[in-house]
Formats: sequence, C-alpha cells, structure tokens
Amino acid sequence: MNNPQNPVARNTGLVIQEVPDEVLVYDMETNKAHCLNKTAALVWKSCDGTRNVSQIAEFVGAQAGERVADDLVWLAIDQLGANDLLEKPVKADFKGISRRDVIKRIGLTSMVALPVIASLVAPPTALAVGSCACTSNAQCGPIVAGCPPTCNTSVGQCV
Amino acid sequence: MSEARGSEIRDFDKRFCFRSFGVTVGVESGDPVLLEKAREVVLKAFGGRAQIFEEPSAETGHRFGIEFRDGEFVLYKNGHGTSCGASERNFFRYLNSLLRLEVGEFAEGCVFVHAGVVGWNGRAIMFPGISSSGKSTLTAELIRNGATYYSDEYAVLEADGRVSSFPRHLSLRYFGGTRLREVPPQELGAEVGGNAIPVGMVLVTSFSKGAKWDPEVLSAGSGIMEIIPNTLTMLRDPAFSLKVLDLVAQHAIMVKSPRGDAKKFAKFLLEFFDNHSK
Repeated sequence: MNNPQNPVARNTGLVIQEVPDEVLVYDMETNKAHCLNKTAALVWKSCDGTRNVSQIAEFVGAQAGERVADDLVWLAIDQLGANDLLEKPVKADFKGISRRDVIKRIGLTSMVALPVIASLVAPPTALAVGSCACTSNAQCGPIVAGCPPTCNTSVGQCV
Repeated sequence: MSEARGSEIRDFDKRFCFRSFGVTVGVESGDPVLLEKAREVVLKAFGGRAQIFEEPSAETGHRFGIEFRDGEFVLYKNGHGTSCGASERNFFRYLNSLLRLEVGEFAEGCVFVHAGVVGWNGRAIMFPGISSSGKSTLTAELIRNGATYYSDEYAVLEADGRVSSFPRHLSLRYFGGTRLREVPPQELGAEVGGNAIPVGMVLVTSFSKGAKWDPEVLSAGSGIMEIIPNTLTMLRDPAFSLKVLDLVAQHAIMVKSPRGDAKKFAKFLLEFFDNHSK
C-alpha cells in the first residue's frame, strides 16, 4: 500500500541505461550523470512507494542473498535524495548515530557493498568539449571552452 | 581581443553547403576568395566524409559566415558575429575546428567523442580527453609503433558501438608545447584506418611528468562516466549516446592510468592490450 512517507524513485526527465552491476542515470533537467553501484541501484529500483525502509531492506537482502540492515538502505536513500533521484527527498533516520559511524558499522558487518553514487555534470555546451583552437583569449578558458586559459595566437591554440 | 558583435546579424549573397554525418552546414561570404578558402578548409577538415554542393537555398540550421572587415576576420554563426583577429592562418584553423565541432555535436546515427583512436590487431584503442591532454602526442607514438591511425581528435562511434576513422593532420606540440606542427599521419609511417572496427580498450589517461604505467581496470559504469564529459552528442541525445557507450563497454576493457613519457607509455600500453583485451 502506498504511504506518503515511503520513498519513490523519480522517473521523469531521466535517461536510464543499465550496465552489468550498475545503473547509469542521466538527468536531463540538470545535465548531471550518475553511476549507481549495484546496491544503490537495487535500493532505487525498489523505491516504488509501496515499501517502507525495512521492507526495502528485506527486498534488497533477498536479491543479494544476505541480510541487509535498514541503515544501509537509509544511506542509499540519503544519497538518492541528495542527487535528486527521488520524487521527494526523505530525511534519513540514523537514530542519532553519525553517518560516518553508520558507514563504519555497516562496513564491518555487511557482505553487501555500501551504496555508492558517483556523479558529474556534463559540460554545458559542445564547445566546452571540443577542440581548443582559438584566435583570442575569449575562446579559451575552462568555463567557456574547457581549455587552458590563454590563446597562443602564433599557433592558434589555447595553452 | 575577440568580442561578440552580437546584435549585428549578417546575411551573405554567396554560399555553398556541405553535408557530413547527416548534418547540412552552410558556409557564406560576400567575398568569393574567402569562400573558396573555406571550401578548402571543408575538404581538409572532413576529407572524404563530406559532400560539398552548391545550393544557396538549402535549408539548414547550421550557418557559418566569414568576412574580412576593418583589418580583421569576423566569423558569423547563424548570423551572429565574433571578431577573430587578423591572422588568416589562425582564423581558418579556428573555422576548421568549429565546423568539425558543429558536425560532431549534431551528427546523426553516430556519437562523437573527443578522443584519440588507433587500431591494433583489428580492435581500437580509444583514449578520451580534451584538447591539450596529449591525445595527438600519444596517437603519434602509437602509430610509430605500428598502430593504424583512426583519429587524434574525435572517435566516431557508430550505432553498433564500432569506431570509424575521422582523420586529420595531427597537431603535434614541441618546444614545451608553445609551438605546433601539423603532420599528416602518413608522414609518421601510419596507415589510415578504413573500415569501422570494434573498440578493444578505452584508456583514461592524462600526462603527468615522471608518471609510470599503473593500470586500474574500471567497471563499465565507471568507464562510461569517464567518457561522458568528452561526448559531444550527450546534451542533444543522451539516450542514444548512453546506448552506444554501453555497446562500447560491453566489448572493451576500460583502463585508467597516468602517463609519463609517451614513447615508453606506448609500448607498455600495447603490451597490456595484447595480454588483456576481451
């Protein structure tokens, strides 16, 4: 049954590409790319609004063949929310324990990998990806063109 | 100092078009001599991968205008101008670069990645990276070791994940990077790749003085994340881009390593590739 407190994976404005043991997500609204490891991906996929955190832990544990603590799911949900991959962010409940201590504790006791989401922002324009040929400094620079900052006009390249 | 002539919109009465990788580009000028030089730039930039045609009225959303006015060259893109200094050589190099970039961003049915590519035993080694990251230097060393030249600027990934060639004269730096020499790949003894070939390795590397070959094998997802910042079509068509990058990752080993001297690095790289490619 849907409970408004249950996490729900966002599915609008995203391009999703599954690769072995990972999921790539491209957010078309922010031009951010994310790589979810297997654990993070399993948690994300099970956020369908019908499961609370304990039920997600049970589901992920069944998939992984290992018992999974609620804290591990909270870690994933925390990251998913921070990366705008949930419909609404859900405040992680680590029951007063610091995130760092939670990670230490899970790391020592769990065979299931910690959830990891790697992210980057794609360059805003193709120019920022392309060649660094130039005729003046205005065509150089890391922000404008993804190039070194100064135009060497004798060779026509940003250096 | 370059400045945009943003509010000034220009149309020209002389024009030719070319079509490359599904993109139609118009090049215009009021000066027939400049237009002829631009035509030579297109032939140099695209080789056999562009068809030039005279059709002034052809519809295109990609228009480049060129003009020499008040002692400097002005480049217009879709009517809006930017001053580009007085050097004709630099101006046409810049035009070459922008035309290739425009086609790369809007290419149909393939994904352009800013990367060097060589062929080795029927598979490609692709090394993504922005300009000045040493792609041309590494490409030159690999082809001196017998690899086939595919590109030192853009990997052209086809819809099935194979890579085809997109040759140009290599831009090799010397005198500490302050000088540039353009060298045809054949001058380095290279054969230029013909057919599209599968990618056998994606190498993520950057130059660091004194660095030694220290390969780390990446997961498919991590490897694709390294390619994304160098993928021209990512913004326009992320779904197709990711699908093609996934096809590459299915057949290629993804490796990350710093690199020092390109001569030594090239030998280690090729040996590693021979021992580890899928």
